[in-house]
Amino acid sequence: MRRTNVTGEATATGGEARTADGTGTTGEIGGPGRTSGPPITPPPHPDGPDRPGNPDGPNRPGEPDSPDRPGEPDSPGRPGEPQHPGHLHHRNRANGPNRRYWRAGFQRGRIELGHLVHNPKEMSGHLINVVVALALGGFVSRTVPGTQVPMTHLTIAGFAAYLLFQVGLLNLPQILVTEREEGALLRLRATPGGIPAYLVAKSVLVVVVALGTLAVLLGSAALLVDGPLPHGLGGWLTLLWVTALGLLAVVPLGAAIGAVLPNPREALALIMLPSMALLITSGAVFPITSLPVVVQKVATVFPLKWMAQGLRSALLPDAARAAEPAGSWELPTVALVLTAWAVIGFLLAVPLLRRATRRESGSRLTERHRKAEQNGAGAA
Amino acid sequence: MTTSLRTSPATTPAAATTPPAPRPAASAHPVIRVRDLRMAYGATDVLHGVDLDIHHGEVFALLGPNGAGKTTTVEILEGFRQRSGGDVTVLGTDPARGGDAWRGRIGLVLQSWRDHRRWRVGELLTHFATYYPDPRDPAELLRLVGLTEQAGQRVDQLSGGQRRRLDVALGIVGRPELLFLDEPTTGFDPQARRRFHVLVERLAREEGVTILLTTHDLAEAERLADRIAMLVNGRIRALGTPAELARQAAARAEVRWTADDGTPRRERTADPSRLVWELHRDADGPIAGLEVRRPTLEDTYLRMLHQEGGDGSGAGERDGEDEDGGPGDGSGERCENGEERVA
Repeated sequence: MRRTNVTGEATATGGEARTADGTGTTGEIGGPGRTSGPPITPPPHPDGPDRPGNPDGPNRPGEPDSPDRPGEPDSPGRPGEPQHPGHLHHRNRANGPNRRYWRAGFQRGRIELGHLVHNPKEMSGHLINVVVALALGGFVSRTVPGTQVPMTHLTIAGFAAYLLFQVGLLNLPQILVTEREEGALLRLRATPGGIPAYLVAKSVLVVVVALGTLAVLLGSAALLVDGPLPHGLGGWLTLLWVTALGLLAVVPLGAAIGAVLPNPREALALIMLPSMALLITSGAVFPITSLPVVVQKVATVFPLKWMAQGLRSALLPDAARAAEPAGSWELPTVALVLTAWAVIGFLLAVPLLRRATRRESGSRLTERHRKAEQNGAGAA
Repeated sequence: MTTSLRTSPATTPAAATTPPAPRPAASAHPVIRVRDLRMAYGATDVLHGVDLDIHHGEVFALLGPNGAGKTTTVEILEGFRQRSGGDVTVLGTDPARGGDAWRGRIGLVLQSWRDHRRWRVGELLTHFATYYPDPRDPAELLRLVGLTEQAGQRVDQLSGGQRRRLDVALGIVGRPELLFLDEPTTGFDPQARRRFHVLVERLAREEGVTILLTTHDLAEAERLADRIAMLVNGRIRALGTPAELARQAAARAEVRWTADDGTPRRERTADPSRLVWELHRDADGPIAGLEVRRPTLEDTYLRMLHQEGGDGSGAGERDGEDEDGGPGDGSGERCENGEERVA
């Protein structure tokens, strides 16, 4: 039934068509009359409760073998399936499943966000950064050297950058590793469209969490410690693109890291240290000019410095440029470095995620659980 | 391979490649068709040419000890593992190239899933229904697996058996034509096991779902399966309906008695009556500790495992003579102590 709603133009397989399709579906999630809403209490089947396959059941046993089901309505356009001819279904191949998978992805993202919001432990994990930022921002009272800009503003801007950085490179890998370990990735691999939907869901989750914490941080800082807010339209636009590009720089990278790290516990240890080091050396929370030059040079390779610098340009008055190493915001360089990281991240993430998914199988899962139990860290 | 210990010619009149399935649904196009499947990890061969045909609506049990190659076989069929050689088609497609449409026709229940712990039971099932073109109704499904009351519970609050039933529900939410069940009842209490068996039977009988079950529990295989294949050391050592296999097994009875010097003796024979008569004649009187056992399928299974484990058998006792040509295969089936299982 759902397939009949699909418009013909979505048949185009280009990314734009899919996106348009996907965003179209978001609004419909949970909407009335959509099957995606949880119809937990549907009308009872007339044939009685013991026939789960009512609509289809009577036909199936007598149904001959697979060759007689070529019209499996949603065969996606797989070139390797010549045994599914049926030109009637070619149209549906391209958009029927895709539409379903996008919707599943958004639904999944929404549900996972719900779980996050209702999990006090995880929520406090995200909010503790805001609290630390506020405490630090309220504590510093000097001004940024050489300027009249309160140090608080620099600190808050730096923490804002770090929050984005952390969501992409700390939280996301942890989620990926955990879900891989528990078998969610395998289950989705065994589900048609499961992996695309998973990626959509994770993108939704990461973006919402990042923007949410950012908004909470800037909002509460502005209210409580006289924190910075963008000046004028230009400031807001800068905030927008630096945030977007910053996320693009760290999220694929985080996905790549999550694809290769061994297990949740080790993962945390492995990522935590470098990211703390970067937090300090990137000049996020105090002016980078006060650090040795070598350290400064190293930090320029990584995205955090540029995210922080970009956010400062959005949040701090122009006069604060004086405290920057180059004496200016270097926005073109910010864009360039972040884009470069985004490209690197995608180039790494796609094959690594493929590999991680491909390697998943029941026996590997069993083996890992066995090991985990032997280590006395059995999750169950 | 499959022909070695297979059903007698009388029961399989056709070519060995298409043994008739017990139900009339059998057709010329098996749901799963495997020819000369080989798998090697490095220099180690795990599968040595497995042949299988599994037909529409059939419940097929792949039985074997750990390390026999069960998991490898099934993971190749599921499309999760690349084979080293041989031809495999599952639902008309090579699993190595199975796309989403193919995936959508297959259901999977693995034993070690612990995912989606924070999800609510009903929420999870409803979510997974959205991936399929024609999903089952989640509420119906919860009732089918007996989890209606748990619909609002978090997945990590379920008991082991409930969790597995949820896995089954997730496995069949897309109305698969083929369902893989991997050691489905490991860790179940007897009641849960029984409920699970009823569920599997219902899926197969009422809905014509083809089911491939892997297990090392022979009783379960006998109870559920239309046909059983015993996979030992990467080869199929026996294949047939439970009745056929049991008949084969029972054809070689074991006679036990205590000899004059007090040592326990045993002998396998196709004709226990004759042996007992001979013993009586030799002893010219009652025989101490006389016992005639028709081996069960389980005995055969264990013996097969033991045989494969090494040649440490045949020590002592009056066993090892097999030349009387039981109805079996003559493929070197030897008597042995049968007590210890191979690790």
